Amino acid sequence: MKFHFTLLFLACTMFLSAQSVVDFEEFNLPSETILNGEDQSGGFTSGEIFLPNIYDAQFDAWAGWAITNTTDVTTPGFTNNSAITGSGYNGSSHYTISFDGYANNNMILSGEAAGHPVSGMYVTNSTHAYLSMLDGDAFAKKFGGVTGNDPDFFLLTIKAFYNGTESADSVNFYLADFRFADNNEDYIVDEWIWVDLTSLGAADSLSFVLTSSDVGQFGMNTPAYFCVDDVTVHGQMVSTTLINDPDLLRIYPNPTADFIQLSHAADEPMDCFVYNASGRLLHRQKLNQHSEQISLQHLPSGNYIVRLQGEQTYSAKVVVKQ
Amino acid sequence: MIKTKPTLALLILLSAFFGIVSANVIAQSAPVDTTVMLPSVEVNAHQTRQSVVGSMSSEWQTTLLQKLPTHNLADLLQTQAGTYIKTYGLGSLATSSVRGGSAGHTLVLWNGLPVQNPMLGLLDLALLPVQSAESISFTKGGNGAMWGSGAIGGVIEMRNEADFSQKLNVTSSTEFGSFGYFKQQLKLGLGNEKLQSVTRFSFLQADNDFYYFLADGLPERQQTNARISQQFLSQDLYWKINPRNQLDFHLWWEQSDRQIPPTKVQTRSEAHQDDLITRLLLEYKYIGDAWLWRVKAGYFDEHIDYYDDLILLESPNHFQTILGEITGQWFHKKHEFLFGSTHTHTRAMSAGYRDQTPEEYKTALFASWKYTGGKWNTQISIRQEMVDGTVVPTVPSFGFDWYFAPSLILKGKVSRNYRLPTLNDRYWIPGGNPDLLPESGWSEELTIEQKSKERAFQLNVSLTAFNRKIDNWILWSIPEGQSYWSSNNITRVWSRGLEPRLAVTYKPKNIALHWRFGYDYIRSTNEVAVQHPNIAVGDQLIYTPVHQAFGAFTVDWKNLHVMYQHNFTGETEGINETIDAYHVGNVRIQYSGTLSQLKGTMFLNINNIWDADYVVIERRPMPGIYFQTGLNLFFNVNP
Repeated sequence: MKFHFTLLFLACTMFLSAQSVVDFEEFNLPSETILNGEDQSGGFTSGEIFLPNIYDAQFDAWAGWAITNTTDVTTPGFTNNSAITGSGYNGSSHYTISFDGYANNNMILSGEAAGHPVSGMYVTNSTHAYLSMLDGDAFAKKFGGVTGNDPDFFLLTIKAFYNGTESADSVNFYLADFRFADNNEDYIVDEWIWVDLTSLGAADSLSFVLTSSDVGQFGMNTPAYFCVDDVTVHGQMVSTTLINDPDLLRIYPNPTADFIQLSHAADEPMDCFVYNASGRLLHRQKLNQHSEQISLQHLPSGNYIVRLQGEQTYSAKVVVKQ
Repeated sequence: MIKTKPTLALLILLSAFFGIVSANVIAQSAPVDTTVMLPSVEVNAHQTRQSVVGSMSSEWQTTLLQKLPTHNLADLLQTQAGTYIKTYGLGSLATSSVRGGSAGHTLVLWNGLPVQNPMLGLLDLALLPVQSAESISFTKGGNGAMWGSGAIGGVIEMRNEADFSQKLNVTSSTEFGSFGYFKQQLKLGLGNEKLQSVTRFSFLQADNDFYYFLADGLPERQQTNARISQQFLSQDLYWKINPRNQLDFHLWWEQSDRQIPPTKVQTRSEAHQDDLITRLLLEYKYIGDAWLWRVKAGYFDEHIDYYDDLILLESPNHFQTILGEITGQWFHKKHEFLFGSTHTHTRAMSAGYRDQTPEEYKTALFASWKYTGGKWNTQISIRQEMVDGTVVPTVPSFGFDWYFAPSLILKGKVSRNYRLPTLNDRYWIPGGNPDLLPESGWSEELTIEQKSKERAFQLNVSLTAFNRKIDNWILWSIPEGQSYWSSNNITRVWSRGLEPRLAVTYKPKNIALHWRFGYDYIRSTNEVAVQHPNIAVGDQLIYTPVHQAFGAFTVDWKNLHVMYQHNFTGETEGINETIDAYHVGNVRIQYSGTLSQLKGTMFLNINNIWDADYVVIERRPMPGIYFQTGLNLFFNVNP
């Protein structure tokens, strides 16, 4: 009997610590494509993570996260959204690129992943940021400066949030580091590097902040891009993939001054999440009816992501608060 | 609201300075004209519009411009007027900051029409060759009542006027210099007492591949991708139909291809900018006994195309402007009345505007009354402009010159001025803001000036104090809750300062010595804190040095002309770092000879003679010592 209980305990432990790798391959994009939120979906769900995205149709510009399989490792400039590796981790096709257009970006965990530690993820530089740090551009400096001795750095700081509380610890990952006394040790990351996040503890979202030594009155000069692949979260290896139903959620008025009226036709209970443009969760509400009003009165003007999620489906929209 | 305390403080300083200077220089003895004579209706008309009453003004004529080691308006203003010029390098984009204003606060006029780029609100002063005009004037201070938007820090006017006494004159100028510099200019003047034609052509090219210092122990680095090539053609036609009627035509055509070099912390650059400028102006003048009417029609077409082959960026920009203007002047004894109306229509195309083709309609009415008395000259002006159907602030001005003692003049001016948002400010995607208000504010200035002459000595000393506040200052920023940079009326800028000037000329028999000195103390501070960009209350504007000084010493002896110029620019803040103060000295040696109707001039310019290592814009290197030499030939056949 003792033996059977031991087996049961081990089985439970294995189940509890099961890991799910989010590798973005299910997007199956045509070659050299970037999914930049042009469909106004407000972000991308892959496995049990949600990557917020704000796409401005008028400006034809995106910020937050995008899914891509582009491979250009030679063209400098902002038009290139590739990773400097030219592929995802381990030669895979798809990965995600983050543009830190809102001072920080967030990654939202859902399902079984939420409330557990994130094991880690692979991170590398975008081609844009890499070549800018290597050669300089019209705005940003070549790292090391004219002598090569400038103690430049490009730092990604990751923190966890759980129930609105920020983790005490943070993980610092240097995408480039020129602070060494011996310049031969200076580096700019050009391969996928595993970043262990278990020290952050339980999380329902992760925040990503970029800082650089090359900063002026108008902010950071180094292009605020980095790339992520193979995010390992808590969950089953074969998880239930949520179905994105763009027509599920209806919001009006949009733009709005004070309130939004949500309506949906889902047959399951839905939770409503409101994120700011950087993906920070601002409001969570369980929807008891198919149509409910939510107040945005207390929020400043700007773009917000409203996301409905149930057990099987999700839908997100960008709302403009005037 | 006019603040009185700072103005009073400046007045006290002004009085103290003048007391010291006047006690130590030549005592005035020779009488100075206390009545401003009006040499001709035409000149007077210019003065009224230029509104020099109460302001300090400088003017350079062709003969003087030919003696100066200056190629374009940026060089001229920097070396001759001590103006702070923000230049990205030799021949590169150059803009001015006058009295602590932005680049868009200096208005440039070509024969009385504003030639600012309406998309950027400024003009690249490196694209204005000084030889393109018969005369260039620079009036500091607000002049919005006469000239409208942008005339806040100062007004530069390039003029072309007919000389109906000319028959034939030909000028050729060939110059060579360091870094592959070559310039060829030709000017042909032809005509009689009825018709005059002046044609100018110039070609300039330079590799600008100078070596510059990086750091101790490192080899010098050679500048790359810095080549410039410019062609300029102008045609002026004047037809004196009869003594009362005259028709003028002016053409300005210019093509400029400039590579944009890498910064000191950039490995390479493949960026370049191509400009193609066409300006046409037709002017009709009626000169009556007491009336002068002018009717002008202008057409400007400019392409400013920016390319960066490295990042696969193409940014073509194009605008067309049509201008119409009518002014009338009535002269009655010591009074002069001017009134006019100007209409402008601009249409602009840019990748930054996406599918929009912004158009702007501007209409303005203005009037001025000028009184020229024995001891007092006064001028009151007012302007009302309407932009796309919206009325902008009414801008009045009042100026006076008071000849309160022999050789002593007190000048003062109070004016309201404004700058309209540019088309980029309004329509650029992302960030353009169609609801922007014009920047506007009041300016005050007071000058005390002493002009005296005794035998071979001539002295001119002055001190100007100014004060200006501009509200609704337009800044590209990230407001709370917004995720991208956009143009906003978010700050207020207070500019104030002192401008002492001293000029001494000593002319005994065969030699003329001339010494000029000027110093600018300018505080130009933000009065509203901004988060993005990071600006605190009281911060001096970036690229606005508090201290600047310039001096020049000239010797003319027989056919020899030698000049030494020195400019000091104090420490200033850039976007990323502090820019150190620097001194730059230039020398020109010129020898002139005459053979019958042919006059020749040879010259040698030694620029940055002290081989100063400096930057004007952070990370943008400037050359050390370099040379230019050339030969100018003038052939003149006149009655």
